[in-house]
Formats: sequence, structure tokens, C-alpha cells
Amino acid sequence: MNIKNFFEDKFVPVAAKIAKQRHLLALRDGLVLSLPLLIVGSMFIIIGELPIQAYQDFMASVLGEGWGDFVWNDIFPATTGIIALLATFGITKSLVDSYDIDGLPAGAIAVAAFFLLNTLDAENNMWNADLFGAVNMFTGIIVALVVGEVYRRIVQKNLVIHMPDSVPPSISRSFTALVPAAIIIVGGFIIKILFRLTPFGDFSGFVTGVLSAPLKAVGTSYPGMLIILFFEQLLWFFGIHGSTIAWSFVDPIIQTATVENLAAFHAGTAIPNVVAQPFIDNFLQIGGSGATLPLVIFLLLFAKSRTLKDIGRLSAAPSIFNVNEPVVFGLPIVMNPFLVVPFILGPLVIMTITYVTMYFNIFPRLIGVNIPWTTPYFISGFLATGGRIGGVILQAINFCVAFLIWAPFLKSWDKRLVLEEEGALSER
Amino acid sequence: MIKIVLACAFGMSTSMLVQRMQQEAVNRGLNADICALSETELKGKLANVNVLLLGPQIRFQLKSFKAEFEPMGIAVDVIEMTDYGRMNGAAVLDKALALSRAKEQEK
Repeated sequence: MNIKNFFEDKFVPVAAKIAKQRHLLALRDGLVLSLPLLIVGSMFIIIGELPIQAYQDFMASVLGEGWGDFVWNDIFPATTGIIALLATFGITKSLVDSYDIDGLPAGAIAVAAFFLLNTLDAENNMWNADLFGAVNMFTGIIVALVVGEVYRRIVQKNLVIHMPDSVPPSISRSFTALVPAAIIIVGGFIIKILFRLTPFGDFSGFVTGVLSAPLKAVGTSYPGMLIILFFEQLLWFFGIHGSTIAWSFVDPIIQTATVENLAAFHAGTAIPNVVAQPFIDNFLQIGGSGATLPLVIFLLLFAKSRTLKDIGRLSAAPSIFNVNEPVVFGLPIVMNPFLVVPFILGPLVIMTITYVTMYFNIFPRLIGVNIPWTTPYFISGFLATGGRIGGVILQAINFCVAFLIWAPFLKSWDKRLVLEEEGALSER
Repeated sequence: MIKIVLACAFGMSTSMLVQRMQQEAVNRGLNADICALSETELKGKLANVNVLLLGPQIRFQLKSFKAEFEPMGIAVDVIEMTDYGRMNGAAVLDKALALSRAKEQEK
């Protein structure tokens, strides 16, 4: 059995299973729900915090001192600041929907359970606003997965109150959710009481105190990044959309680390995490998975064969926005032994450079804003570091390194194509 | 009138191919409705669709999409890698037309 068949028979089914795994899919869809809000929140933070003195002076002279405070006092708490709450709702709904059961009531119950498992400051009748943000992300995820599973089991076992068909659907829906809601709230309350007996005080305290730190340490570690990135590139090399599959395991962890960075940035303390969302979306993916923007530039400037020139022209525009399927499938990179080495090695080298230089604070760390993955390279580095030129310099270094890794392999591939094309011409 | 849907992970790279196919359809004087969707939003959006074509990067979904959508009378297949990468609108349109014709004959 050759390697291609081995891959299609053994590896593809596993990838398919992961890609369709219900709980991972629910995690992804649930987070996607909060993404537009995270990005809008991030844009406001960049507007308020751009470290250009002339700009800050101008804004202050027009709008008054402290003009930027609204970003942190008004926009942040309503967007990024409620990520755990949004994730709880979104994950539960997606999970229950995946069983072909209406997930909307389940989402509402999960939000209630989330509040139940946190502790109200009863004396002042206040919830601590931090509870809704990144700090409680893992609590939200656990609550969502458990509530979703419990809810669908109750509905599937038909332990629900049925209304006659003449009752409008919206009313009968509220009755369907009644029994699951009662069971989940009572169950959640019992769990709450049990955790009150522990030194953690409540469930959310237990999760943040015991589970969050090790999960984050593994999920954002250098070896962790290396393994996931290798896996992603390998999948792409065989023509499978590796990005969503490989990162689905650590997406929530990385999103949590991202918002932690943002909190530290706001507080003016040292930024704790090297790996945040833009680390992956904007620093490693130069023009798409596999650092293919330098490749496209090479094709435009140096390619001699017709095929490569054509692909260069065709993929230039999408590559600016980090869409690289034309390169991956058109060149092709997929299952092309000439290009496998740079395609996998390049991203690993770039990741190492980025990780090490940020770890030792040679280049600025990411302030924790979310930048859409379609943002053009170089602009994204400027924005993700909160408007620091160091981010752009690091991206430029990565770009050059990727270019140098690609160049010799592309040259030999190009030479071969030229010969093939000449041969094809002389045969006619 | 033929309705064709292209699907990939985000519906982004397929939307480029859609443009080329629409151009090709106009050139041939064909009445075709072609659009791109993300693989997660297919459910419930494929009424009256004749052909569903998957980007090669999600070809591992072929089996389950076939099981789900073929009973609705939709022909499902994966786009050839090089046609996809080189945005060969003519070739992919030909494929869609052939699939739809084969499906018609089945009926």
C-alpha cells in the first residue's frame, strides 16, 4: 500500500470523525457566535489605545482627557467581557441542535445554570463582572456540555410535558423545557451546595483554581503548538482542511489566554501569555496555512514556467486576505513531494521564531485583541500588538524566513515545469 | 434552469470559483443559479438544488453529505483538486451539468 492510499484509508476517516465530532463542533460553533462581538470590541480597544502620541493628543484636545475610558467602561464589559456567558449559551444551543432537538430553551437553561454555579455577593446584591469574562470560560464550557447532554437525554427519553396540537408551538415549547429546567436547576443547586463545603467555595472557583491553569499551560505551550501546527500542515498537505480540525481542541483555551492578555493590558501589568488568537491567525498564517504569501511573491517575481506564473497571478489577490486554496490545490502543494518540506517546515520555524522572541519580550506580545484572520499580513501585526511597530518587524522577519525556505524548492519545481512545458511544446 | 451549490469550510475560496462558473454560464447562454455556502450552513438551504459540489479540502464529508442530500434528489460530488485550485470554471460547470444529467436519467 503506498502512502497516498494509506492516508486516504486510515487518516482521512479519523480526520472526518474529529471534524464531525459533536462536542468539538458545538465548541467551535458556540465560540463563533461570540466572534463578531469580540472583533467589534477589539476594534474599539485599538481605537482607544493606539500608542501614537500625536493621535492621542489630538483626540484628547477634541474630546477631553480620558476620552478613551468609554472603551473599557462601556464597550468592553458588553462585548469581550461577557464571552463566557455567550459561549455557555452558544455551545449548549449548538450541541442540542445537533441532536435535532430545539436548542434554544437549553441555551437559556444553561445560562441560568451558569449563574447558579457562581456566587452572588448577597450583601451588596451584585455579581462580579469578571465572572462573565475569560476567567470563567472553562466553567461556561463545562456547564454548557453537561446541560446540553442532560437536556437532550431528558427530551429523548420523552420525560417532557406534551401539549395538544392546538396549542401554539411557542407555548408548547416552554412546557417542553419545564421538566429539564427543573431537573437541571435542582441538580445544579445540589452541586453548588456540595462545592460550598470545599475550600473552593463554588464550582466556578474549583474550575478556575484546579482545571484552568494546567489546561492553559499545555494548550498554549511550545510543544503543544508544535504538535498542533505539524498536524494542521500534514492534513493540508493531503488536501484536507486542517485548520479547523487541528485547532478545535485548543480553541477555547487560546481564546481564554487571549482575553487574559487583554485584562493585563488594561491593568497595565505584564502580558502573561505568548500564545493568543492572533499568534495563530495573524502571525503563523502568512497568506494562509503554510506561509504561502512569500511563495506567491516568489512566483510573481521569479517563476519562469507558465503554470507557476499563472498560479501566481491567480492567487495574488486572495492571498492578501489569507485565502490560499488556489495555491494549495492549484500549484499544487497537495501531495507534491517537491514542496512538502517547506510547506511543513516553514510554519514550524516561523512559530519557533515568534514564540521565542515574544517569550523573551524581544518583540511585543499580543495585547489580546481579536483580529479577523482575513486581515492582510503586516496590518494584522500592527493591530494585534496594539499599534506597535515591533509586531510588524517580527512579521517582516517571518516573511523573509519563509521566503528563504520556499525559494530553493520552488526553483527546482519551476525548472522541472519549464522542461515539461518545453517538452510538451516540441512534441506537437 | 439549474441550481448549483458549492461548499467549503467557510464558503470563501468556493465563492471565487462561483464567480468564474457564473461567467462561464453567461458565456454559454446557460440559465444557472450558482452560489457558495459554508459546510455548516447547508442544512435547510438546499431546496430545489440540483447539484452540490464540495471543495476538495472537505472531501471527507462526501459520504455523510451523500447520505443526507441524495435522497432529496441532489447530486453530490467533490471538485477535482487542480480544477479547484486553478479556478477552472468551465471544467467545474461541465462536471455539474454532467452530474445533473446523470441524476435526471436515474429518475
